[in-house]
Amino acid sequence: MLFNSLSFALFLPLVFLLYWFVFNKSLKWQNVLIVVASYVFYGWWDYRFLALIVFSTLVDFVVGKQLETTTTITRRKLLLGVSLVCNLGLLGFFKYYNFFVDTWMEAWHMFGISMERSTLQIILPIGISFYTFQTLSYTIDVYRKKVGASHDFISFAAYVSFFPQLVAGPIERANQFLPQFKVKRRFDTDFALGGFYLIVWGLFKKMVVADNCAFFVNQIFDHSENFNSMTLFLGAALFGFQIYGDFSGYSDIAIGVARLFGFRLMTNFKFPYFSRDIPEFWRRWHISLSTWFRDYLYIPMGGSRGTFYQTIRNVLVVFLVSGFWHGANWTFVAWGGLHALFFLPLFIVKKNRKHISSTRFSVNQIFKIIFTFCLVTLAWVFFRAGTINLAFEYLMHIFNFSGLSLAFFVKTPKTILFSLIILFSSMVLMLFEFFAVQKNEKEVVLSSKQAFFVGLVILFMGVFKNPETFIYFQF
Amino acid sequence: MKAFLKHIGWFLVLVIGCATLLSEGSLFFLRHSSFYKPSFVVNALKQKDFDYVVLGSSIGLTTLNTTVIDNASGLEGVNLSMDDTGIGTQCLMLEHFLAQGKRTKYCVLSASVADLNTKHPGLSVNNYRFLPYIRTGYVSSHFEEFKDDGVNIILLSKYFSFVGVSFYNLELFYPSVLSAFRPNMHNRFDATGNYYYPLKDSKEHVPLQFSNFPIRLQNPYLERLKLLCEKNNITLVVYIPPMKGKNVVFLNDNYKVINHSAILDDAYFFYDRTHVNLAGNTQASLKFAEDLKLLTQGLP
Repeated sequence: MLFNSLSFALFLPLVFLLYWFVFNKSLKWQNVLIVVASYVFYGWWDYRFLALIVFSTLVDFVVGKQLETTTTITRRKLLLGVSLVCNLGLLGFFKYYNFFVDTWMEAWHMFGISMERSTLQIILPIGISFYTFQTLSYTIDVYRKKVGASHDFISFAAYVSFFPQLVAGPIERANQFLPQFKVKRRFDTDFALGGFYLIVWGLFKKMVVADNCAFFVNQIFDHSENFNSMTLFLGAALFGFQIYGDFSGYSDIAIGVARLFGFRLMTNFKFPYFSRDIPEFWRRWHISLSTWFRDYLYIPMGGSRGTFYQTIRNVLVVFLVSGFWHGANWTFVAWGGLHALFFLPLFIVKKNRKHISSTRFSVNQIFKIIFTFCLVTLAWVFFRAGTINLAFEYLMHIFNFSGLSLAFFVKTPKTILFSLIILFSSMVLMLFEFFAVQKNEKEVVLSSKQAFFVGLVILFMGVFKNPETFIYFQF
Repeated sequence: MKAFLKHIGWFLVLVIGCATLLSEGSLFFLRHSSFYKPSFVVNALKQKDFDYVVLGSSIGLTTLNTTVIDNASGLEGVNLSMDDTGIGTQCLMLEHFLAQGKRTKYCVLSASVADLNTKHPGLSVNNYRFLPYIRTGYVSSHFEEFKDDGVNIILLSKYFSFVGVSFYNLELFYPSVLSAFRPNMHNRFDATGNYYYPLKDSKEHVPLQFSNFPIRLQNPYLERLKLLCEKNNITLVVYIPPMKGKNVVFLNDNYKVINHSAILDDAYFFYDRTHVNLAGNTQASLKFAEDLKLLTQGLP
């Protein structure tokens, strides 16, 4: 079920009313409702893959309980191994099987040996990377004794499958999120209203900014050989806005919906395009994933406690794995690698934490923001292109400076209209974010009047016909 | 909770109320414009009686040029074709034309071969162009017959205009703003409803080889169009436009047909696989004018 669909517009009020008016007397029944609603929400897409969520939930629930009562180190490691193998095994099979087979065959092909193709027609279950990481964080934290095991299967199942963030995050941590299922929720009008307005803001980002950008982005990336340098650069920049509007819009809606049910989810995006350098960008972009990798990969590998070269290796590994997490394609690995290259110079000279809380922008810092945006934009080319070769060709076309004409964007009345809508909506987006950054807020907080304006913008500028599916569903 | 529901309620009422006002304004300006064919028929077409009208999809729009036909035949016609529409919508267009008190002796249907051949026609892509008239009886009852999900957007617009105008915001809202300032502007058609594709850069002459392409005229809307024509003393003529390398042959013969599928034997006349260009448009229109003239004179 898509957040920007009619079915969700009917589903959400129904679950909301049942939650607060029918099951409000019992915490347990509210959690049961969350599990049922979440399974309906997920099963709406493909009910067969519900079995994977149920399996993952069962494995981690049992492993968690066993870990709590087991003191033998070997047995504890074995239990953790079971969880890792089950969860990463499913993820590996559904997401990476064909990729590994193809890569294996290509590697042999380089030596002149051809092998019979044995890839499978595998459908990637949506959200598998998100809920797998969420359940893994639980098992690892129980293993590390940072969080107690859950003894209530329903609340644990609700934690794993909580529908607002099930398919595209934010990836929640057990110590922050699981306890929320164990305490009685009280309806807080201001908190819920904030959630509602965040949903409106998220819909604006998705339906107006992202989906309108997709109109140009799809054409430019699908036929990049036909366009001049400026159009290609703008195509990549528009993809930057598309993916930001798409993914952060989803996160905003997820956080907003969770608030309607009395839950607090972590901030996932904190105005990343106002970053003044790449390290700052990574503190503002997909925060739930980057902190996940920090806590469960970078620090266990030694973090920055080892030698200089070990630290560099750890950073590099985190970026490459983070890229690979996004999809079974070398383009994502290259994207991660490129970000590592952008990140490391400041990291090496220990200036990666230079911009942490400053909210005033000088002219110099505005130039830094633009420069950082350009770097991020170039990296997006790898993220969006179908293959590494296409990405390189795209970048080569940008840098052969073949022309500065913007004729493509004003070719027909339709393209002019799209250009104007994108220009207007991007300005609205950046203006609202600019003021939020100035006030040092972690999200855009709309007033009633602003929400009214944004609501009308959605209705008259949003893409309703043939909307793009959320990009991060594929991850 | 009460305060929350009250707040959300007011918010939705205000947004929907304002959106409804904007949408009603939008539909009003479209109704009083000539931007799309349905309002062009109402506002720009002053003439009451015609010898013929051309109904069709993009094929009808770009193949038969009524100015060329009128000059060659001495008849008077208008092109009511709309791109991306099926015979169902074309039938509605004739109904709409007649509802304005206009008359025609001949109705030339120039639909796509696939559409003529289909037994299960679906909803047309460009039906939203009738949205300004959705509260008119014959328009709403036309859409009520469809079972497709997409029709709900159009039908709901009868009561909540913002549903359709928001859904088709690019196609309705912005053209309506344009129409408010330039009510006589047309959306890619001239004063008599014609449009043609330009000649491409390549002007090479490539002779075409023809293969037979059998079809059956079985679209259920054909029968409805025939009945509507009979009721209004109109002669229905099914026109098969020139096709690139295909000679259409019929597996049934229950309609009066002008088959010009194989009259253009050179790729030079074609814009793409299914549409002719300006040169093809002129040739096809001249040939059609000859046949139509014969038809009006009662010759076979």
